[in-house]
Order: sequence, then C-alpha cells, then structure tokens
Amino acid sequence: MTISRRSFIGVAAGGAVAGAAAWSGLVQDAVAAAPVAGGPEADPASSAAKAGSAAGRILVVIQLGGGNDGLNTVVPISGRYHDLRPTLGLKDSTLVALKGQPGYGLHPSLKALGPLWAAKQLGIVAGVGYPANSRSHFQALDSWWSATPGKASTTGWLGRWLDASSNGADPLRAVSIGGGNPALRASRALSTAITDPTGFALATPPGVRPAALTAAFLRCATPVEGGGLRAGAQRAVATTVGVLDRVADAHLDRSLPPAPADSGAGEYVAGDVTTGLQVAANLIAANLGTQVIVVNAGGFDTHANQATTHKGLLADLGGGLARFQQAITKSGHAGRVLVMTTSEFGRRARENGSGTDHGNGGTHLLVGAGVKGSVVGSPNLAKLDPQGDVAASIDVRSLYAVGLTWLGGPVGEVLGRSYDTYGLLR
Amino acid sequence: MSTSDRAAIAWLHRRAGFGLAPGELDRLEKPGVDAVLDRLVDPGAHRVAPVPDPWKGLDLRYTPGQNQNLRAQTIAAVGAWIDHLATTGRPTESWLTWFWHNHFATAIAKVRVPALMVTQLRLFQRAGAGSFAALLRGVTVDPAMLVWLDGRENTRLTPNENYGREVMELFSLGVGHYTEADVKACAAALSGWKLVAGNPPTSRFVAAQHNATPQRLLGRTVRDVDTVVAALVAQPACPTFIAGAFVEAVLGTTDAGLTADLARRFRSSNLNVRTLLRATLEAGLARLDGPESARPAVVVAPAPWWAAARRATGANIDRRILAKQLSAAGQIPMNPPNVGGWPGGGAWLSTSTTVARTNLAVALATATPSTAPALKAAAAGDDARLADLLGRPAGFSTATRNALADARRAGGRPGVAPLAIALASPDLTVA
Repeated sequence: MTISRRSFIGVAAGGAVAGAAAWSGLVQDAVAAAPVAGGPEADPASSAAKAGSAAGRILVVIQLGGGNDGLNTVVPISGRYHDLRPTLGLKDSTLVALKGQPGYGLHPSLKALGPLWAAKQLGIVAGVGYPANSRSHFQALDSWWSATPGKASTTGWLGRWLDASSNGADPLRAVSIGGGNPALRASRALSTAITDPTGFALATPPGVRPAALTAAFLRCATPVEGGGLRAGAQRAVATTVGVLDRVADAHLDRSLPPAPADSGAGEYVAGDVTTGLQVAANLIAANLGTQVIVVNAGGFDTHANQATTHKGLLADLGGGLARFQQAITKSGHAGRVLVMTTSEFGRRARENGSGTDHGNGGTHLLVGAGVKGSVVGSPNLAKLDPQGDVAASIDVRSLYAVGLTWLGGPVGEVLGRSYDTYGLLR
Repeated sequence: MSTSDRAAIAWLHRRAGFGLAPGELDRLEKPGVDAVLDRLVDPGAHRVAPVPDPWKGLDLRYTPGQNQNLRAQTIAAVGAWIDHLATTGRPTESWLTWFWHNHFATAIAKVRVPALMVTQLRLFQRAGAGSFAALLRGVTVDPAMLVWLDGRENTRLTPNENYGREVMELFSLGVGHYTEADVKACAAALSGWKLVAGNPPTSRFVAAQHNATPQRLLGRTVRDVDTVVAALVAQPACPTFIAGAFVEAVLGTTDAGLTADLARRFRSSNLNVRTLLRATLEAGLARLDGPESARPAVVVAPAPWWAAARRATGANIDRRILAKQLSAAGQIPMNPPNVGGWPGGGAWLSTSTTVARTNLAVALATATPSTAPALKAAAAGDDARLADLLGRPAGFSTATRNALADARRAGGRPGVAPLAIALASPDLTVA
C-alpha cells in the first residue's frame, strides 16, 4: 500500500509532530516505525508561499475544550483571588506583567504572549458567558456553537456566516482541525475537517492507478438515492475528493517555524493548539481561499491536578500562538488574521482542593494586528454569581461580533441582532 | 425465505453485532428471524458457546512512570478488543460492551493504565445485559471511572463535583432533571472512594474520607453509593434517558413516542437491559418493512464498521497502521474524546473520517486473500453476491454499482480496487 501524492496538509507522514488527537501522541513512535511505504513528494521550488491574492480576512477560533480556567489564565491581582485559590493561586511575582494593566498578569506559561501584548496585538475579554448556564459541558457547548442559548438550532454561528457570505459550495472556505466542530454546521455551506494532518491523503492498493480509483470513488456520489444521512454520505464523498485534489495541487509549505526562543514555561510541549495552529498557518500560506479555521484542543476540564495540567496546556496555547504569529508574519498574511479563543465556561472561583469544578464566566484572548490591545470586562471576584462563579457579564455573542466584524459581517444576520464589540478592534 | 427476512437477519447483525462472516447468513436462514433475535439477545439461554475473554494472556501489568509500556499496552489491548469484535460468536454481548463504553465514555488519555480500561470493559461485558442499577453501581466505583471523573479526589474535605454531575447528566437522567444542589449532594454522598495500588489497581471505600452527613438528592435521603444509585434509578427520567440512548444508537431516531413506549417496558422489567435491547430491535424490525422514510438509518461509526469489514473479508492489517487510521477517522476505541462519548451521526460524514475510512478500506482490500469469497465476487463483477457478503442482501445502490464497474478497470490485483470502493461506499457507511 502506498500513500499517493494527494498529500497531507503541512506535516509529512511519520514526521516529528504528533497528530492532533491526544492518543496520537501515544502511538506516534509506533506509527513512525510502521511500514507505510512511499510518502509525499517534496517540491522545494514551490515552498516559498506566495502572498498576495488576499481573498479577504481570516478568523481562527481556538476551542479550549473542557472549560478553561480563566482566572488562572489572566490572573486578577487581588487578595480575594488568593483567598479563593489557596493552593492553585499563582504568586503575583511569577505572573507575566501586562504593561499599562497593573490589575492583571498572565499565567507564567503564557510568557510567549508578553511580546504580543507589548506590540498591542493581544486583546483580553473577561467574564464572557451566556445567560442561564447549567454548568453542563454539552449544554454549554451547544449554546456556544449555536450562539442561540436556550434555543435549539441546527446551525452553528460560523456555519451561518458561511451561508450568509457565499454560495457555500467551497468546502475549503472553512476548515476544522483536530476533528469537526459543530459551530460550522450550516444550512448549505460545506466545510472541511482534518483530524490527523499526517493522514489526510488517499491511499491506493499496489498496481491500482490512483486517479482511476479516485474517479471510481467519486462515482459513489451520484445519483443521490434515499434521503438524509445517505445523501449526506454521498455528498461527503464528493466533498472529500474535491478537497484532496485542491490540497494536492496547492504545494503547501511544509517548513515549520522555529519554536520561540524563550517560550516561557521551560517545558514547552507542542500539543493540540500548537499542532493545529501549525496546520492553520500552512493552510493560510497556501492561499486556498480559507477564511475560517477552527482549532480543536482538549484537556481543559481540570477538576483535579490542575496546577500541573493547566501549566502544560497554557504553554501549548502561548507557545503555539507565538509560533503561529511568526509563521503568518513570515508568509505575509499576518495583517489578514484574527485569532480568538472560545471555551464552554470558566471554572469555579473557589478551588476544590487540587482543581476547579465547572464555573460560569470565562476569559478569552484575541490575537492579531487588528486588535486594539486592551482588557475588557472583569472577573469581578467581589461580586461572584450565586453559585460562586465569575459572572457572565459579557455575552458570548459580543465575542463573536468581534470575529464577524473582522470578517466583514453580516453580524445581525448571523447573531440575530447586533452586539457591542467593546472597541476590541482597531 | 424472502429477501426481506434475509435483510432482517443482516440488519440485526449490523445493529446488535458486528456484521456477518461468509456463509453465516446462509446458515441463519433456516432458524429464521425470531430464532436469530432470541440467540442474539440471550445467547446463554440458547446454548451459544461462551466466548474467551478478549484480553486473556495479554501482559498489561502496570509499571509506574513507564510511558513506553502504556503505548505498547494500549495498542495491544485495543487490537485484542477489535479482534474479538470481528470474530466473537456472541456479538450482542460485545455490542452492548461497545454501547456502554460510549455511554459511560472513559478514555485512556487520562486513565493512562490500560489494565484499568480493560477492567471497566470486562464489567460491561459481564454486567452490560442485566440490571441497569447494578451496572450503574459497578461503574460508579469502577477504578478507571474513579480516575477519569476524579472520584478518587472526591473527599469529605475536598468535594469534587465531576462524577456527581456527569452521573446524572450523561449516565442516568439527562440535563434538566436535577439541580445544582443535587450535584453537590451527589458528590458528597459518593465521597471517600480511593484507588488501591496493585496489578491491576482496585478501588475501595475509605470511611475516614467519606462525608457521612446524610444528603438530600432528588427528594430522597442518600448517604452512600447504594442509596445514590437507588435514588437515580427511581427517577422516571432514568428509563426514558436510557431508552432514548438505545433508540438513537440502534434506530437513528429521537422519536419521543417510541422512546416513551420502550421506557415503559424497560421500567416494568426493573431496568433489565436485555428487555430494552430486545424491544428496541423488535421496533426496528417492524420499521424495516415500512416506508423508506421510517426505516432506521445510522451512520456506522468507524470502529464497528471496521470490525464488520474484517468479519466479512477475513482479512487484517498491521495494528499500528490501524491505530493511525482510526485516530485519523476520529475513533480510537478506549479513547473517546470526552465523557459525552463520540459525537456520532453526521459527524462521521466529515472529510477527515471519509479519508481515513477509505484508507482503511484500501488497506483491508489489499490484505484480503484472493480465495476470500468477497474478493472473488468483487473480481468477477458479481455485485449482488458481493453486497450479500458485505451484509447488504438487498444489493448496492446504482451509484455504488457504477463506482464498482469503474474500480474494476483501475488496475491492480483483480477485485482489490472494487472491494475497497464497496467497503468505503455510502452503502456500507450508512445503513
């Protein structure tokens, strides 16, 4: 069995970078040693990505799955914080200072974001949530994905933007990395999901002509028989074949940006965020017309052993973001890109011993040349909500309005009405 | 025997099992649909030979700090499980194990001890068809679950809500059927369960770490695991929630009327899982003969799809390649993405899953010997026979038949390309 030249996005098969799923890390050595013959063709001449042909602005959404602890991400400097977090509380002296914002400091693992704050390319929004949060991961995720809290929806907020801003026929306009993401569910618009970038290529049996096999596979797509799921499976065949063709023709830059000189934590590990953003940077450099990228990361549900776990997760986030900014600056696309984090909720203000339970308002980051570089909202520890959580004082949809405004709207059509963007963009 | 009876038997083996081996459908014709259903749902009562433990003989001894061991052991344990799914003579017991694995979704990514994952799966294998109350009690103090949802951190002085919330939201009642006060009460009553070192580690109750204050949970007084489980299964929401999960998994619908009907039968059986499964399958059989729009349709998840493909072809591939491709498909057994299990449904129609499934189909067809009936039928262009061997006695769709004709002209060893296309086709991924 050989892997055809319809190759991968960004990372060579069996390469040094772990796949996006956590388990990939576990099997990586075995996979590298596995007898997968062949490999992607290198084309060094085309490796210098061509900038220009700016097909519009790009929004990158990083989903911090599990509910990121906003209080230990952007730390409010106050005695009340240390009262609530006797063991998990980060010492003021270890925090990454934010010049001009003496009330806050970043988790030491986010040291790589210091230069972005100094360059006014980092925005911070605290107390983000939605009304009537049940503390359920899945209800919260539904609310965030749909942006219609309390009301079922068959579409996600990014899917509605795809529907509203194009004919929806190009699946590469939106790419979800590290698995699919329901925020991309649309009425019409197609999108692409990549779980493992090293496996995003079609294999061919020995002696079989790759183009002939692909063409035969494509014939499964028509004529459409039966409804619903069956038609969906047929559409998936056509979408997949089309996407692989275009990705194969794109001659993606496979070089990896170097790790930041000082990533801060001293034990920087490339996890879901770094790996996903690396694929994102390569996609952007390839100019495939991609405007929305979702990077799915997990592990933020830190009920226990949070100090160690969260340190590693934030090192991945901070280091990955810094690397990503370097890469898109190098490829000449930095001016087009806005990055934002999302997560289903923040965590309880008071620690439970070694971790934190489900909470309410969260803190989110915006990164890019378009942000003003401000801190908006507050994790007001003096006025927690009745459950003892940071209140949700800024609606999720305000965060989304920032992203949608960056993309050129229409905000009202996607979110039902306009929302305050708190001057977060320049 | 009519085609529709043959189709019904194949459907039962798709939904309550992992497909059919060559010749199996022919052998099952004579006993008929009712007898097949009886044997599937209650193999012990019908003298179906017991099957060996899937992990028997594997060295899963835990050595602290040895990540290399973890990697090799995980691949071995997952591989042994898939081998079992592809060959077991009691497929429904294993289907229930798979179902409960997704329902009580626990992942090696956090548990990090393959022997504990195996302990939990053995619980499902052993108790998955009996009383739901007993199963829920077993899961609540299962060592892997105590790691996965932090029960072992839940003590009198440091209550941890993780399990207390998810046991109601995802395992027994569904969101909206409890309050935040219930979450806290549930956590308090379940405090004090710890892990005991050993090979494999086990769990035990430590009274000194238990919050002995009686709690009010869902209108009852509870103080320990037994009273908590009794309070949960006494809720009317419990049979409805579990029946809903079966209806969705087996029939691909959220039909409230059907769910309520099955929940009633489940409840009157004192929450006997075998009763619920049987009722769900009977509802599916009734719908098979109905109009197209009412026929049960689900997207087959990558791992069960793979097990059925192996059963039909008799072939296998290197476990390390399998691990990589299942990871790309988004479904490594023993490693669901979170406590909600795999997203399922339309999520399995993504580009990433389609690519990985196609690659697995190519690898399996390449590994299928020329003597295998499926490969022979694929090479000969006998689409009806190939469809039957792949568990679709009603035949392929027009689109797939066209694709198979083209694939036969794509070169390579005769039959390999069309077999790969057939396995990857929408006819096999949605059924």
